[in-house]
Amino acid sequence: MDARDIILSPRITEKSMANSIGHQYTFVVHPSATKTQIRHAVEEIFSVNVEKINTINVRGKARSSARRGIRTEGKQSDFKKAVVTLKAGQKIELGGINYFEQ
Amino acid sequence: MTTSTLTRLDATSVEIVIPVLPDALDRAREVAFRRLSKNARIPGFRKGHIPRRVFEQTYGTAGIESEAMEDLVPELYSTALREHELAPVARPKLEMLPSAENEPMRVKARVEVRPTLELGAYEGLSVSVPERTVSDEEVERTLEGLARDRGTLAPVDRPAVLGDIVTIDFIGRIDGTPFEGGSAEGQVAELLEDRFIPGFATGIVGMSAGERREIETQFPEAYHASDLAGKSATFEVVLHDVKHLEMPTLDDAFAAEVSDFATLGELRAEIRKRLEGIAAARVRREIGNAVMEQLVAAHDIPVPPSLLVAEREQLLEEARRMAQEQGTEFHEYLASIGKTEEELRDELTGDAERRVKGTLLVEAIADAEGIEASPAEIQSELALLARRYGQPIDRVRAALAENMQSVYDGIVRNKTLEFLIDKAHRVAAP
Repeated sequence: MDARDIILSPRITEKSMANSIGHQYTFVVHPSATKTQIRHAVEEIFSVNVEKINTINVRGKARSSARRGIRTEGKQSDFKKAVVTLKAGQKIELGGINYFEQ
Repeated sequence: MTTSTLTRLDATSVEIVIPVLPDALDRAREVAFRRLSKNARIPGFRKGHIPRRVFEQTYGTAGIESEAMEDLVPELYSTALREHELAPVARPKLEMLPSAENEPMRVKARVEVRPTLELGAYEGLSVSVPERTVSDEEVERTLEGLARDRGTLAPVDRPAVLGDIVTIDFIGRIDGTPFEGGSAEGQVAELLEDRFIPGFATGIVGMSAGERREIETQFPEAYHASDLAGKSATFEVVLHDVKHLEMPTLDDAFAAEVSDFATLGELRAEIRKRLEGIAAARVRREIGNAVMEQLVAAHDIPVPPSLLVAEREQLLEEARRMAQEQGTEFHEYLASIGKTEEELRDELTGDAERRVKGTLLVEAIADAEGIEASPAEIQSELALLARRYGQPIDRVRAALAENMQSVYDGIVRNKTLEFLIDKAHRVAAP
């Protein structure tokens, strides 16, 4: 699998931005990607050294809506999230912009 | 600190170039970003918790930039006004100047200001104003007016004469056809020539109750309804009754009834006193007008165009309101004086200019003399307004909140005018 099929997108939220101060960067990754695959992919794309990887399978939230008395039950998509800790002093820049630093 | 530079363009307008300091700009951007981010929605962040980088990445910097300038420019502008001690009379025209790399940005403001006046002599001016005395006749006329109010209507059995109160039906026809507003039934009217179109009242004179008569009249050329002006009309009039206004006899009893005075002599004296008060106020007003006229003529006062326009529009608005109060539409009023709105506006320009000049002068004199309005004076002015509008004083104050300055200015202007009148040297006019 190609590195860019494993790392799908950066995950930019309040929580992930709070982590980035300690060299942690959060990505949405392929649901079946392993930590090893993710490590290689990050190192390849961003030319950095990865210290540690934590992965979390995020369950999509249940959503329901009602329109004219007809309830529609649904669910947000599940996805896999990887929190990547880099070697001290290293940074990731995305398109010239470092999203993760305030 | 870099300061703004002032260029006087002419007597009433200036141009200020204000540098925008990078520090101040950064602060303003930060404030603008905070405010904008409160309402920005970006998935993954709560409102108001968006980091600036993410915000700028999503929405761009243009919004922050313009918002920051909107905050900053008025602030810089008012600081610059204080710095140069300017008194603007209109809103400024603001413009961003293109700036070179590494140079601070600059804002150019062009604004009309109150001209600085070289005050000439304004005390002890000689003005000639005619004396206003109260004649015995005027006193009697006022007394008669009081008597009329107390008069009683008594039916009389004789042909009508001028001054009688008559009840009439009438149908007016022009060329044999009745016209709008030309007919009435049971109309009670006082028979006076100047109450009606020429010929109508005199035509009724001599009629007895129950009589029918045709009266030939002609509408004057200057009649307010243009479709009737100059036309001949025939009125078919039926006189129902004739009444005469019985006036009470002028004696001490009458005086006691209409006033708190016991004798007619005292009432006369009081009426005279009041009329004299009115006459004295009128003389004062005339002195004031004469003084202002002299002062305006003696000074070279540059008039800021925006004040002139504002004053002129106000005069036009007053004319419009006056027409409406008299029950005519503004365009009818224009037709009756034979002018278009544009011509009237042109005509009012001269008046407006004199008024603006007068105001500028009075303000300059008030400054020179240090005339101010005390809190007590403001309070009593507000009380006056409150009475006039029948509102509690606090309501008036709240309604005026923004315009308190104009109340203050009005008091100062009046005091200054009084001051000028007191100082004026009056020469009795022939």
